[in-house]
Amino acid sequence: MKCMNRTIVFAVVCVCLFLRSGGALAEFDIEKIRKSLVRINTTTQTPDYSAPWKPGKISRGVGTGFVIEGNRIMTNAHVVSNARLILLERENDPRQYPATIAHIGHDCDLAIIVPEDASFFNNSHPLQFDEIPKLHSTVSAIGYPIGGERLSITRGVVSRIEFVLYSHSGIDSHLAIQIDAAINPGNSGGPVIQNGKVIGVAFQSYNNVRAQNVGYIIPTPVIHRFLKDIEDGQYNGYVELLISTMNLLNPDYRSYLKLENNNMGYLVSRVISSGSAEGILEKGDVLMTIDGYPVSSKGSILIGGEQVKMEEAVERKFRGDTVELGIIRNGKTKTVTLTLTGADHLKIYGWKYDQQPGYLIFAGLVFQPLNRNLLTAHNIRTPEIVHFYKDFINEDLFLERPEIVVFTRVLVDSINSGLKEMRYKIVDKVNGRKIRTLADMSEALKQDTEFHVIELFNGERPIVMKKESLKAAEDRIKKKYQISRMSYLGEEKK
Amino acid sequence: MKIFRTVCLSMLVFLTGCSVSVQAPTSSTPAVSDDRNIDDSLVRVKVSSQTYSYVRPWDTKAGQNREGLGVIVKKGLVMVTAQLVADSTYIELEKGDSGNRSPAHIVEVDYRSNLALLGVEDSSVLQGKKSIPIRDKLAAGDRVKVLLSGKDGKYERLQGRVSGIDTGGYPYKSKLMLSKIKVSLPAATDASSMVIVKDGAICGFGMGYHQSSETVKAISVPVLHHFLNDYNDGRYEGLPFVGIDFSPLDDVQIREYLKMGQHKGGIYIYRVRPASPAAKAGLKQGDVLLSMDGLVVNKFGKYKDDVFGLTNLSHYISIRKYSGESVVLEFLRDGVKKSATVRLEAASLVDSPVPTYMEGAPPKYMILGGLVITELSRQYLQEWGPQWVVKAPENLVHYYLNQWKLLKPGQRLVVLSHVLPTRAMIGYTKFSNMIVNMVNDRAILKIEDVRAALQKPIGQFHHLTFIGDSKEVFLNRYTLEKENIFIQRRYGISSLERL
Repeated sequence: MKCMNRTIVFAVVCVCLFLRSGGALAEFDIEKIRKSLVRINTTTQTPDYSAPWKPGKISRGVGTGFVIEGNRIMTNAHVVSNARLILLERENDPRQYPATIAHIGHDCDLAIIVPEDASFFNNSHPLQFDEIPKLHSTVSAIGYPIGGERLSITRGVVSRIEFVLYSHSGIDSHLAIQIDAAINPGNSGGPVIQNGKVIGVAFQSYNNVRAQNVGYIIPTPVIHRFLKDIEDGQYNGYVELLISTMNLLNPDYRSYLKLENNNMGYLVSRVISSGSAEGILEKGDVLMTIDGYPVSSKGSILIGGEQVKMEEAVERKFRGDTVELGIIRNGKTKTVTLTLTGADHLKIYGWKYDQQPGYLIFAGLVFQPLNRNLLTAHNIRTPEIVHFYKDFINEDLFLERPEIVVFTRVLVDSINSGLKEMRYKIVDKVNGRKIRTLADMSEALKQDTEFHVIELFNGERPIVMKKESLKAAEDRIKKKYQISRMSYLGEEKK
Repeated sequence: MKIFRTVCLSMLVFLTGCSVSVQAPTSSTPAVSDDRNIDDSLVRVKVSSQTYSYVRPWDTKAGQNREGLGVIVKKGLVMVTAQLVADSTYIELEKGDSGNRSPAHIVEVDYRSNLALLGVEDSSVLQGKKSIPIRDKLAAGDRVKVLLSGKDGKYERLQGRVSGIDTGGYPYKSKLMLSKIKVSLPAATDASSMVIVKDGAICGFGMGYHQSSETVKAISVPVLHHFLNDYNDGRYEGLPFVGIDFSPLDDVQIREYLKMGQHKGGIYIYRVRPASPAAKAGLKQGDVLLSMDGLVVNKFGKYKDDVFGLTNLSHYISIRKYSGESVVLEFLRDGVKKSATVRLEAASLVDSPVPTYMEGAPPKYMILGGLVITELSRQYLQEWGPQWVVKAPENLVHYYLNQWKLLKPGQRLVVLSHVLPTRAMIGYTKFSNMIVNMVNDRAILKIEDVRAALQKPIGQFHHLTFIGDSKEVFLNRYTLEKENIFIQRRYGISSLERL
């Protein structure tokens, strides 16, 4: 999980598999469910990370939602991400109801939207949630998939229940249920029903020519966690332990640590700076228990008869919650308590939504902070940048440079022609000042100096801009490339 | 190296040992006006070669057989391209018509100039053969003959035309003068096997063929002369280098910033390689190189060569000069003009912290109870195919690209390549391409350090740590001995180390 090939352990992985016993499919009242079903028409505007000063591409989409307790509508985060306008429709009601997002969780691909007009809910029944369905039991996915205008129902069986990468964020793995009913675009956000109750929300399918009829749904433990998280009016998201770990399967390693030969204990090989475990866990600690569950030598714990990843113990915890760890440090047994937090510095790896990309245009040169959207938009494969991206956490690069500023583009003008070959390099220093963030760079360029000097990491030669020619050039560039703002440094610096 | 002086290169070159003039050979060189007589100076060279596997360093890859042409340039010495005889296990010379054969050996090889000299075991194979002079000049537009080793002991002759002469990439990463020859070759011809001749003198060896433009890249005349002259003085030293990397200064603003004033040319030195001749002479990163021996270097790094016109400065340093000679570099530092005399040295491809090419030497390795440890080289990275820059492990590519900054001179990057699964390796089997930092608390700067460090285990244990990866390895010293025996037996690896 997470798009890094090393060993950071993320606590976003597991929920235990409470399989429901018994319960053959009972027919449900489709008319009742129809009344709670919502067709969501969206107009979205996706920021263009290759031209961040532009407003972004406008497109339309259709998704599904359903009414839940408290006059709320549940759908997928990806249905309403980057939305500029959301219009809701109900079965047999010609009206279009404008709606707004109340809560959105990109890490679990769930959102709550509310119509502006509460009369929308007249004659609707909030749907109830049920537990995880049994393997091989039948479920029905309801929604508005492509191929027609009206409601569609498909039926399938539960094929598999396991941890799956949620592709909306691209970094978070949670429990998901795989069903063999087709889940197609438009189905997203729709309820999946068994015995008249919701057992999940349809959200993604397996996008591969080799697989057919693989649809994934978000199961109710993930949904309940989301609903609980927003009870305080704000979605905080999943928490993470933020440690690197290593198995303790090796007999020699175990004998060096003087551990019993019982396959228990998991090694903390690194504590990631500014995370939950900093200052509490240490490199070399052996994790023996997590909230009382014994931890095996490959990092698993036994819950409800199933071996699951250790991180599951924190999967349903919230920011500020604690977790108790039994450890062996320097041969001595200890108990420590961690207060769990999220991991903002990992966000470089997740897809970004609902935010304007940061950028800085200087003398027609475009500088942007490194993140997944940026790498993909520019299709950057430069080894230097890949190194900074992949080892951002592993090698603590984020401590020195919380934002990696990349020179991405040249808006060609007489002042900068010939600098195109120097693109896709990382900004090291500007006017002698080390650049830690895009805002740093903006500050450094305010310096009153005859020449502005931008030094790139392994840049061969510095970029030099003469101050006196700058003003005229920037005016030309602004006009020629129709740029309304020369920089956007991020929301907090507005 | 004896002094090599140029008296107007376009007219006449005095070479050490022999002298050749343009068009009309003097009496000291055999006159070969008829191309047929060239046959008397050619031999077929058959090479069996085997390259090492760098990811399984105890192993070799499937053998290859190559065939090409060699040219007798001196009594008993046959000149070929280095790429033809690289990684050879057996070389054989064959007299074209008679089929007489003799084993041969490499007398001298220089991968940077891509040339080698072969000696024969049985001199009868060269009986009746004559040596052939190296032409002293070849110009764009010249008509040449391209000779291939054809079937039935015959040589194929094709007409070609020189379409251009300029510096370009040689097979082993050097940038030297090369001749581009327009010739239409039959499909699947090995371009490393052909000889280019004109008027009875040799003027190049093919190095590669570009199919769509029908162009052969050939070693140029000055490179041939440099190689032979360097050899002829009794000791081959190799192409000299200065040790700077530069970028052009074609931008007005940076020129003004660097206070270049009235200077029209100049290049920005962005790297002075540690311990290089330039470093010893005091050059620094950020200096602007203005001239070499009074020859002005323009803003793209070219100087006006008296033979070739505007030419990349690497030609002046590596080909016009010999190692041991000096060059006076004039440069600008903080707007002040300075000069330094740089004594040129030869560089080998093995010398870089991450060797460019191992020059046929087998990769060093150690197997420790299943841990396969080796040293990083460019060839190791090339195991990931032509796209290795983006496909090979990024931590290793990062070190390769930043080797001059991250590694000290003489230092090597020691890598845990992968793990051969054994019982002792349970828990470690997925480790791969990790950079070894310390073994038993001793810093590892080359693979030999690993062996030394193993002499001093920590208690009963060997302890390995890595750079950029927090995982560690502990291995009982007795387990190590036991598992090593197991590996030899079970995996059939005869030798567990090669240092």
